[in-house]
Amino acid sequence: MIQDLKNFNIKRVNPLVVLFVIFVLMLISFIFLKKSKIELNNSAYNYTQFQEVSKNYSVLKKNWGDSKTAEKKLDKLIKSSGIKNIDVTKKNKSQVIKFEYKQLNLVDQFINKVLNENLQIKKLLIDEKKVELEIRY
Amino acid sequence: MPSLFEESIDITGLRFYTLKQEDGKYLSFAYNEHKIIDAIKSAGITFNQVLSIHFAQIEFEELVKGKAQTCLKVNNVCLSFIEEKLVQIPVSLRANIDNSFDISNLKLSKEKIYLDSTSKYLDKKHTYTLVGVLLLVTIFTFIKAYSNYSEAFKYSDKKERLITTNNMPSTSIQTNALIKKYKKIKEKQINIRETIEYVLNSRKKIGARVVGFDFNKEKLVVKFKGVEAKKITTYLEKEYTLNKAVVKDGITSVELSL
Repeated sequence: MIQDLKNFNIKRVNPLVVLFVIFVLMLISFIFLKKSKIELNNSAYNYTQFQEVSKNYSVLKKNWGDSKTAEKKLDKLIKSSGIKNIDVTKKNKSQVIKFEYKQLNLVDQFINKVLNENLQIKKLLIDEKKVELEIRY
Repeated sequence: MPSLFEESIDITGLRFYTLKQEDGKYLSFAYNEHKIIDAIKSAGITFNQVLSIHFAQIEFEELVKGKAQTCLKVNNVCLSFIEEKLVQIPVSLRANIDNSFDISNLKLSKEKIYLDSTSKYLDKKHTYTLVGVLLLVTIFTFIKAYSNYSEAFKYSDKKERLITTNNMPSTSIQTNALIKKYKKIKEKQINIRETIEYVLNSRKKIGARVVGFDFNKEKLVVKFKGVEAKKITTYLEKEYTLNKAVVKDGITSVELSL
């Protein structure tokens, strides 16, 4: 074995063998490249799909699943309504608003604004004297 | 050195080996590699058994020093040095033949050549040029493939960042379940708003005035005034199924499910 190694000389390696080995390596590298391209395309496609899902989730959660945002929106609407003596009761996952009114136009404006916001209406009672509204978070 | 032979012989297909003997004095050999290979083949020796090829002119020199004019018989060929040049002498001349010469005792010098076993149509230089080109292509391909895998792996990081930024659940099953839940809430809330809009439009469409409105969970009770009950129910039934309709003191109460 040692003698074989001593006798081995790189100059004696048949260049055609080297050529063949390099050719095989090149074929392997092409297969490797092809697989990597497929992997890259799949990853890019999956990421684009996930971006869509993520965006969808983010928007839906912000509009319909974020209790803090909903609470802020409702507080802002109450303060800007101009309606006096609004009774606000905060429950575990909802907020109840009760008030009696004399000016129908203020109620109209307030209810319109509530309906135009992404707020979860659980209960809405309007009669000739009072309004009762429950918003779920 | 090739130019040394160019003028006198056709060097196509020939190779050269040069040994410097002293300043300004060189010993050069020109040989036809394919003839050597053919000779090896015809002698029944496999190519791999041949480690190297030595020149008799160099190797035999030490043996014949002091034996001038002696002919060394090697494999039925009589070799002798005349004026420092190894020459063949016909055996028939039988001039001072030395039969004691044993080629197996010969200690070979470092002066040797290696045979090029490549094809006659593809010489060593071109073969290695081709090897170099293929090697470059292979290296470039592997680098590109590695770059692709690396790029693909970055998408996983980007995905993780999106999950963190949007405060998403860790699994897609949970995410899809929440999306489904939020979509259901959205659809329900849009339905509530569309129903309220339709009910309030009754004033424009049929001249009814809404005097009471009670939405609780899935049910909506609306009180109308100013128009007969039949007109109200006909209007509402175009879009919704009515649970009940009651008329009391000129007020029509209609209950419908959302």
